[in-house]
Amino acid sequence: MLELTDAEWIALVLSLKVAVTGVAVSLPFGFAIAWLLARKTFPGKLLLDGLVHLPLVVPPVATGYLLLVLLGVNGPLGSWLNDQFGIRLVFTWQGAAIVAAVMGFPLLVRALRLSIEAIDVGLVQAARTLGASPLRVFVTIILPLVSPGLIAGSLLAFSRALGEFGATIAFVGNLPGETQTLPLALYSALQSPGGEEMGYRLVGLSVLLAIATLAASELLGRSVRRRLTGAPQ
Amino acid sequence: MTRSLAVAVKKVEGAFTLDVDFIAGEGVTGIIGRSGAGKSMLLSTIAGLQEPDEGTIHLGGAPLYDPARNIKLAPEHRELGMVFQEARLFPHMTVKSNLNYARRNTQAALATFDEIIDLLDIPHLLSRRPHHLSGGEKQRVAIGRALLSAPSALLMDEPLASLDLARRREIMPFLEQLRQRFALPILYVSHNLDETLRLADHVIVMDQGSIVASGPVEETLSRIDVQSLILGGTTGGSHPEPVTIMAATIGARASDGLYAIDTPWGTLAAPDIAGAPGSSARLRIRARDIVLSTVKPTGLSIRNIIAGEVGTMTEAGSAQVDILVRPPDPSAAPPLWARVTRRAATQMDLQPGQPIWALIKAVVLASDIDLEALR
Repeated sequence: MLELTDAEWIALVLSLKVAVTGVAVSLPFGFAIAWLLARKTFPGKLLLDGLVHLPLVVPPVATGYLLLVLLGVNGPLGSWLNDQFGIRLVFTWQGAAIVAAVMGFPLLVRALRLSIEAIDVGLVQAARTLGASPLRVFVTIILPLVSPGLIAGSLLAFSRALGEFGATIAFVGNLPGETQTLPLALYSALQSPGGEEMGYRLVGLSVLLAIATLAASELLGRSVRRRLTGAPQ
Repeated sequence: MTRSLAVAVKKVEGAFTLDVDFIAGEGVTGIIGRSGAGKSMLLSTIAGLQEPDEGTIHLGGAPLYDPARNIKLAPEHRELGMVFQEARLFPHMTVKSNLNYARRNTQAALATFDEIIDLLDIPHLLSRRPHHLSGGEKQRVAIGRALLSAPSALLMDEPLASLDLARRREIMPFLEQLRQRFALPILYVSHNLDETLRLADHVIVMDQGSIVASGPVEETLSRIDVQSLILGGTTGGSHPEPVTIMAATIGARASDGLYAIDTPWGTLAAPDIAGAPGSSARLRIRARDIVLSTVKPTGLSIRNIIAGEVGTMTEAGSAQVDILVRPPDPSAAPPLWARVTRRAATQMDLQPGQPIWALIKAVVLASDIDLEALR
């Protein structure tokens, strides 16, 4: 039953590659934005907060279309990338990773922001009086204490990326081996006559993947919390 | 050279203005005042966690903050150890990692790692996480962590305020050792009279961002205006009960268990005094714990009977009078405050200048100081 066909393998590996890359790309930006939202006050903070959450509330197809307008070969950003670096995002797996990054971004930022807000500023002050530079404080205090949020947010964004459909198909299309992730492969299978069997298997695969991600999130979260507090859980 | 901390800063925050100017030498400088007096703000300004609007901060002659010379050292470069009200231990590290967090400059080290953990009695806690420590243990680790950063001065911001009475009693001896062991300027912020009495050599009294009094502890804290500032509103309502503060040396313990305590008023007797024979202590005697007599009493259980004369008499509400009892030689000892009822004062016909005997129950002197008694 779990003997996968080549096409299914390709879709699975591509999905993982796209999701992992997307999360990796969004992490530094997500951290910076979460830090701003958690610790700083500035004009336009509410606006930034709203912008970050847009991908969560706007129909995914609309987000994908916006990305196409912006990053397409003729789009303002896309043409610049193409001219300067020869980077083309439309119809490429890198484009799919950008979609994954954008769609997972609100979830990542929310989790990180909560985690950053929970860090006692007093600990940072104490570390500074003990001779630690801001960089050392970040590495030795902030990162370890924010790691539960980092893990939870990353895995949430990862799951969201695995399930991404609308924005992906609008921006990078549905090319087997390039942009055809699991949901897109499932869609194609259901569209073609006699594709039900492949459809069932892809559904099963997606469910398994989701369960594995949730389990990983729970286990990792637990072990990190235990490491952070030394408390038996 | 002796180390000293010279602070002259001004900082306005909303309606509040912090404006202080002082020099703290080696030993403990108590900074006392009610909450909201600006004590913590002062300490975090010295530590570099807040920036003043103007002024300078010097440690041992070297500038930590001197904008005119474009010097604004970051907190990590000020070599100041800070102990906060909450221990602020890093929860994801063991006690040992917390203690070792500061990268030690071994040349400036106050003492070795082992000496410091022995002093604070924490060697058995090294492998534990802060989560598993009691409040008192956490605060001891926090003190050790600050000491191990090899500071040139120590800033302590109400280190006992979040602990219960038992925990305070547990930590107090360590703080006293700290003072004796290390020749550092230590700024000790507190709103508690007894903590300050026990630890400080000098005291700075703050109110609404300014210094309202400063000087040697007994002298400064005996001032009635200082007392009503610190104690006002908590004892005796609008007429706070005065307190007599006396330096004392603990003498030998007699076979019946009483200690002889040498004070400027002569030798008094007290049971269970906190401190070893030969050590110095400060006595705090509440005015209501002193009984007055116009004749030398006999046949009473009271052991401590001292002769003086009536000084000023101050109304304390409609029914009570605070009476200052002066020693025969005013330069030898501070006056004593006694609070009696107006009826007693009238019936005894107390007049300034008349001889009087002040009676102090020995148990009142037991200076296992009840830190909770006053605030």
